[in-house]
Amino acid sequence: MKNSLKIISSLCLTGAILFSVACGSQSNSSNTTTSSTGTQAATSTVAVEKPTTIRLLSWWPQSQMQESLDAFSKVNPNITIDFQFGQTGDPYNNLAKTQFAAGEGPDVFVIGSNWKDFQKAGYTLDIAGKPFTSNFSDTALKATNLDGKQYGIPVDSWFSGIFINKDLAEQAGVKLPFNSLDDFVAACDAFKKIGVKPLGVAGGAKSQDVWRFAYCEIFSDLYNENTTFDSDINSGKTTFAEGWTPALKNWYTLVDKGIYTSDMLGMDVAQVDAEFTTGKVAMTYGGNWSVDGWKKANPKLNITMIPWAGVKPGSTSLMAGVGMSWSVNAASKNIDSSIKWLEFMSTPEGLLPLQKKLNCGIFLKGVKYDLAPELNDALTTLADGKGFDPWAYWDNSTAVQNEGMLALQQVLSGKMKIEDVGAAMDKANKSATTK
Amino acid sequence: MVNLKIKQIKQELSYEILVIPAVVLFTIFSVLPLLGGLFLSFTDWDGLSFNFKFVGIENYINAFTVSDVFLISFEHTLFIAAVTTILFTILAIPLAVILDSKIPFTKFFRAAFFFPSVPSALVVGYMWSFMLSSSSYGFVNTILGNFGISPINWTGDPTLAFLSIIVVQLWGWTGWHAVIYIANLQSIPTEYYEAAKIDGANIIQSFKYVTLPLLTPAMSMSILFSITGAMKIYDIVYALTGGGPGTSTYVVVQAILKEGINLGKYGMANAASIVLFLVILVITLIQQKVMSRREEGMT
Amino acid sequence: MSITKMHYKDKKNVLGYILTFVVLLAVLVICMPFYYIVVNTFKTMQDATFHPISLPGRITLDNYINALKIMNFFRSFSNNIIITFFTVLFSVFICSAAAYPIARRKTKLNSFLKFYFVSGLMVPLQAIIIPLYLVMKSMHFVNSFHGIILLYIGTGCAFNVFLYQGFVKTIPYDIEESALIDGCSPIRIYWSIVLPLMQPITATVIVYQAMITWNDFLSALLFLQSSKLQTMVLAVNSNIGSFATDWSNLICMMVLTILPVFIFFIFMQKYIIKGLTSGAVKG
Repeated sequence: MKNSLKIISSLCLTGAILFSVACGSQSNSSNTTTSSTGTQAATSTVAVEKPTTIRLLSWWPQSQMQESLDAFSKVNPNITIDFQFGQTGDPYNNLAKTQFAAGEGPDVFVIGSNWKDFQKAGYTLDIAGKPFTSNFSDTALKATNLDGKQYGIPVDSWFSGIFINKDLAEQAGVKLPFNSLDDFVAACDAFKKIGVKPLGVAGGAKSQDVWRFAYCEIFSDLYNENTTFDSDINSGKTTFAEGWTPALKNWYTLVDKGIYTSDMLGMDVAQVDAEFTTGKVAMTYGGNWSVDGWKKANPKLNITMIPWAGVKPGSTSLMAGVGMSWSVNAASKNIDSSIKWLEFMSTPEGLLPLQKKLNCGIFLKGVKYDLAPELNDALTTLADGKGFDPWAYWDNSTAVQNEGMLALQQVLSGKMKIEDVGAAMDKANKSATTK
Repeated sequence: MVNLKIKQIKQELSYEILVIPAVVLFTIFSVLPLLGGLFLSFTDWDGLSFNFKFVGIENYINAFTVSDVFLISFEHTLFIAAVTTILFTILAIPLAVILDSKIPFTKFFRAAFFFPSVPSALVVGYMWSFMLSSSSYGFVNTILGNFGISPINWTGDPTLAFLSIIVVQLWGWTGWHAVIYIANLQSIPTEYYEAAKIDGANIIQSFKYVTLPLLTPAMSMSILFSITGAMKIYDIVYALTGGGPGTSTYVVVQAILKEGINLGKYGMANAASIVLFLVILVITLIQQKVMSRREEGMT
Repeated sequence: MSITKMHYKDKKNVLGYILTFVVLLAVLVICMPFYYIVVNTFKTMQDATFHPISLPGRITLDNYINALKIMNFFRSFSNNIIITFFTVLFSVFICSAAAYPIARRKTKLNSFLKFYFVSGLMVPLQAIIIPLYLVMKSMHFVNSFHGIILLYIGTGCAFNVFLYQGFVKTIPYDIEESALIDGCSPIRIYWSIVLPLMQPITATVIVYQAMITWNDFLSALLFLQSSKLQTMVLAVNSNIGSFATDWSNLICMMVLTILPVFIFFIFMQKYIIKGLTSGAVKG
């Protein structure tokens, strides 16, 4: 009896010591002061004196952000950043929205095409007029601007299209770039003849790349001519069923021809990457962010990005847009420190490290940056203004995109007709509006 | 008389005082959130500032009529719960018997079968989604390829995706359930077997008439955990299939998270959570009643 | 004695050999996924891409070294230890204490309490994360060790009290009875008599609770926001980017996360069955 008592008490003692050490080494989140906010002017060029900690919720993993984070600490040694990450898509959105709903949103966070969800709820701070915003081009700032209020600073300009293995293309006798959908189909046949899978796409529910080239077909067929489609959707003048179905049907011919297959639904990005980098698949969907990882997996990979070509000859298109933006939580208790992050990410020192990892374009005026050579072939299409990302402009982007994703997957698994996809998206749009 | 009552109460209190820490913590972290969810389910809150109004049971009705997401996901979840529970019982009992027999290395084998339940569901899910991918590099497909079988779309085909989920669950938890049965097996008195043997029973009959009935406690426990676990399943399904293709493998928790948090329909999602809780409650109450009646029949 | 021993102890061992072989085969199949993961952690990224199944062409430890650095191994490991240790420690005392009166005293209150705790098994935590977040926030438990430890203890009560109360019923009442007559308070009886007798099931509870706490992902993700508090699973998650994941490092991190539990499990696995055998599974 005495023995067990001894053991228990020594256990508790050790435990108590461990515990106090643990508590002592915790972040001093309870020490954040609010006094600094009162005396600060709107411009945040005054250095923040007291040590503060801000919580940053990121869309990019730590491995990609680390350089920028380290550079920030050098410039702002008084500000500690607690880095949190959620994977692109549902994981990030769920995490962010849960925290916000509980009144515990992060101090700085990333917003993307669904930024209006956050703006509508009042989570995003208006930073219009702050000096560092003028570092960016106006078009870029427009992406997160509503009624004269500025809700974020842009990070990256991204673009994506077809990535093709040049060596395999040569082998198969495929000529690049494609001028029309027929060229693409012919190329697929040529690849099949030399025993290579023509197209690899991550159609699994976690990746949902199944949509990408369908979007491109829609851009090629519709958006190249119709510049008001998105605002018409918002105002109710037109519907997805009306506008998108013809293009979707064109895309669907690829399913009939066996270029898009249902086994794509069982693959995620990692597996498609593996097939692409080892030459088992000739073409895949990818963007500026993909090159870095592919080259690491296979330095000998000889690839290039080319635009998609639609049914009409010459109707090329890419997906492109302003990617993510940094935003400050309007209810943050550390507004000044949070704004410091935005300030820092408006400079080359903050943005370029990330730019290198992502191979993206950035919108800092007058700042030069390098892009991987594999992206050169697509740049003219971009310059011609043929890059689109309409979902960033829809009022109910999240609901519509969600429904669209589900619908197209059902189509690929044979459970839905392609003609019904537009209607499904309209239904989602309507029910989101009537809340 | 009153004095006796007071004395009794005092006595009870001196016992119940031991319960207080657990009740407090359990109530705060398990019950309070559930009540919070119940409260929210009667409102139309959408994550904004606290301007919401009460809408009665509108959320409950809408959840199952406006779109079929919740209905489908309940269907799927119940299916998974039923199939895995039945298969766990069918597989874990013979496994337990074998692992409790006189073959060598039983301790090692028990550990090996139990081990898949040890890593976190997130890690296991990612591991398996890798292995089951329909790509030619998918581990399972590569092995099948050696036998001349063309790659199978394990996680992308709506029907096969279910099969994959169930197989992964069986892989992960059969050993865990077997351990519960082993514990029960070891407490069956030898005399019963001796008596049966004297009566001329062979091994199958011994099993049927001695072992199986006496395994009721383990069965009750195993089924309880299997059902409650399966109804709440999420991580492993999301990691394996993402709920897809489309909504083919949506489970209730995923639907709740998607509709509630992602799409902002908090009231409706909370209604679905309460319904989920009630469904689990009803199923387990029925199950426990059935099993306890069986147990009573034994003694 | 087991059913098989009863019927086959006199017979020849042929069936035994066949059975052993079959079981061995099954074990190999079961453990195959782990082989797949582990073998790829020792390959370079190219090797892993081109030859996923075979043994490494050239064994490299670079992936592990990188993984250790990226996931801040020693800090996340010690965070896991701290959280798990205290969760388990307090769970044992709190849940065994609660189980004692519930199992021993047949009152309406106690039947209700038994049901109350078991219903905790039916609460879908992920479905109520927002109310849970609000609760944690109002008690200032977010982003702290003590907060999440209390959360784990609270949500673990359902399972642990269930195990404990099943066990308590199998302890013979006489000792407690005589202690009661001698005038001992129930608390004293619990602490000095019952708790020591519950060692087998305590071991089981320790193993189960440790595994669950160590591996927990969702609560850790939501409530451990400071980088200083990150656990190993969170470190793994932080590095899974859908757009450019470094898979060789990632699977190493996964292995490193599993390893400590694996070792713990090897040492403790016999206690699981022992505890369950000694009484919990008698209903």
